Amino acid sequence: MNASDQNLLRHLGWVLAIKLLLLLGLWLAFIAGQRVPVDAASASAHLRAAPTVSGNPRLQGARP
Amino acid sequence: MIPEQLVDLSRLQFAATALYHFLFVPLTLGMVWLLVIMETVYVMTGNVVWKDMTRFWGKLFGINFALGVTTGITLEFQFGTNWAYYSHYVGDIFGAPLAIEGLMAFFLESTFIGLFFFGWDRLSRVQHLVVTALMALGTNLSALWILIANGWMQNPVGAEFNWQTMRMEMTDFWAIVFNPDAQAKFVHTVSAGYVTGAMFVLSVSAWYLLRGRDVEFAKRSFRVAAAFGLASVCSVIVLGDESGYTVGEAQQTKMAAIEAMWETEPAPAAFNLVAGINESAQRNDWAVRIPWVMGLIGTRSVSREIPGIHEIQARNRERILNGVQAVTALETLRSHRDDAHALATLKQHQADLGFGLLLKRYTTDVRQATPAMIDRAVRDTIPRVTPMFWAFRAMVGLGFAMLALFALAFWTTLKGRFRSRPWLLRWAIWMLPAPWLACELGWFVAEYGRQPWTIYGVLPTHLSVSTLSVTSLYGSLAGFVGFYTVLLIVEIYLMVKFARQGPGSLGTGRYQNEPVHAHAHA
Repeated sequence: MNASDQNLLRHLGWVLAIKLLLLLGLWLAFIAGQRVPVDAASASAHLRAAPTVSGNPRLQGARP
Repeated sequence: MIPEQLVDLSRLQFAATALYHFLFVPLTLGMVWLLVIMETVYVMTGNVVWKDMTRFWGKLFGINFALGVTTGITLEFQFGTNWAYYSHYVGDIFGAPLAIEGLMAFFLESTFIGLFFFGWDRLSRVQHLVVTALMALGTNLSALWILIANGWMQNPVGAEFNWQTMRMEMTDFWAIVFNPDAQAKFVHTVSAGYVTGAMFVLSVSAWYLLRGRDVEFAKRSFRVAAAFGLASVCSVIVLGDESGYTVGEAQQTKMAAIEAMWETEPAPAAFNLVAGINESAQRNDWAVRIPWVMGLIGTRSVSREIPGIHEIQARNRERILNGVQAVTALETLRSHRDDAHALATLKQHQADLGFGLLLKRYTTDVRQATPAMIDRAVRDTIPRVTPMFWAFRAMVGLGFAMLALFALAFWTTLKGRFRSRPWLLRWAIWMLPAPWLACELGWFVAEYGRQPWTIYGVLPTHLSVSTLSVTSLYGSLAGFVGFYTVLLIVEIYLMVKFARQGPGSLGTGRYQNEPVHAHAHA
């Protein structure tokens, strides 16, 4: 393995480490506490009560 | 109440992360087979320049793999957060191919990538070639299982709805695996990846040739890329036609939107090459048309009609009205489990349950839906025509431009004249972004064209999202986009840096720009 390969390996090692840290950060910030548990009863309630459009009327009725 | 903004933001987040993810994937899919070809020639001939080519292009492949790996994981994060109801409703089917991908293909791919990079001095030539081939196989198997999952979203076969568990349940695993949509999508997508890999090698080699650097190395790389690229781009076009045929069979709304085909025409239908689309009036103000072509592509016959948007909307109106009965029966069953009449009604209209659920966007009680609400739900069943029409044509246009480039590059390599055609080399460099653009446009057509469904005809998008706060979605969207942007910048920086170094970075003593104090390797 030559100096260029070692240089690349060092770069990629840093990239992978930083990437995993960023992913962990994203997980902790936006995912870990946001999981929405769903079962048959809550899915049924979601379908029953979920409806209606609110906000952004621009999008309503604009489609063909 | 589900705010429309929540649905739009969830869609935007998934689209953004998926499109970023697919900047890395096609290069991996394509370059790995070029490595197999180069190393096979090395094993067959013993000519060390082919080993150098495998190692050098393998280095760039490794950069892309290292940057791209795990970029798909944020999509899976979102299934649990933004799309929890979707995950519950279809997780029984959708989860299986994703799990198989993770357990089988991903580990196969990752294991052999390690052996590929660190096994040059530890394995025999043939053993190393086998490792490279298995790495290619693993990469493509990854794509297969993901596209089986996606194909099921486009054409949900081998499953049925269970009102007691409120989810779709798998009835035929093999129907899902051999779903024609999934198979057509798989071969079309991986072929597009092969084109991307070929274009990358062709462009970088053209850059070396224009500068007169490492000419023998670059000439061989250019030749391999031209031949592989020509075969791949022909596959993409032929298999894209197959993909178009399966879309015509299973997703007539998508086909009609792609073609801006408002009315059903006598068979075989003409193809709208370009058109002035008037969405509000639901017609084309003008069009340049090619007789017969649409009918032949969409039906492969001269006698079968392709339904236009208005005819599809009329059919969908009937399905929505049937679906109202299915939704009403389902709600009755959920509160009175022994109601035999409701059960019979649900079974009778179950195929249209999803269409009834489209009304849930406008009213809690679908029985109270007004004609205006039904009209809006009917309009919803067709994706916006203008972006579909032009995105598809841009993708196809890029495909044919790449076909012209690869065909010319291949022809000139056969004649041995490509070094005396600097315009061709410059063209090859300028075309570098084309396969990525075409891939992203293709995904846009496939996914935007499936709207208003997450699972076509089964589960509307607006009922698939979780009830998160809009603020949290803005935060996660910014986080994900920032994450991917950083990765993309690092990818481009490393690719440019090591591509500029050229094969001299291998330190073999055979190329220009050898690093100082390099240790001979080969």
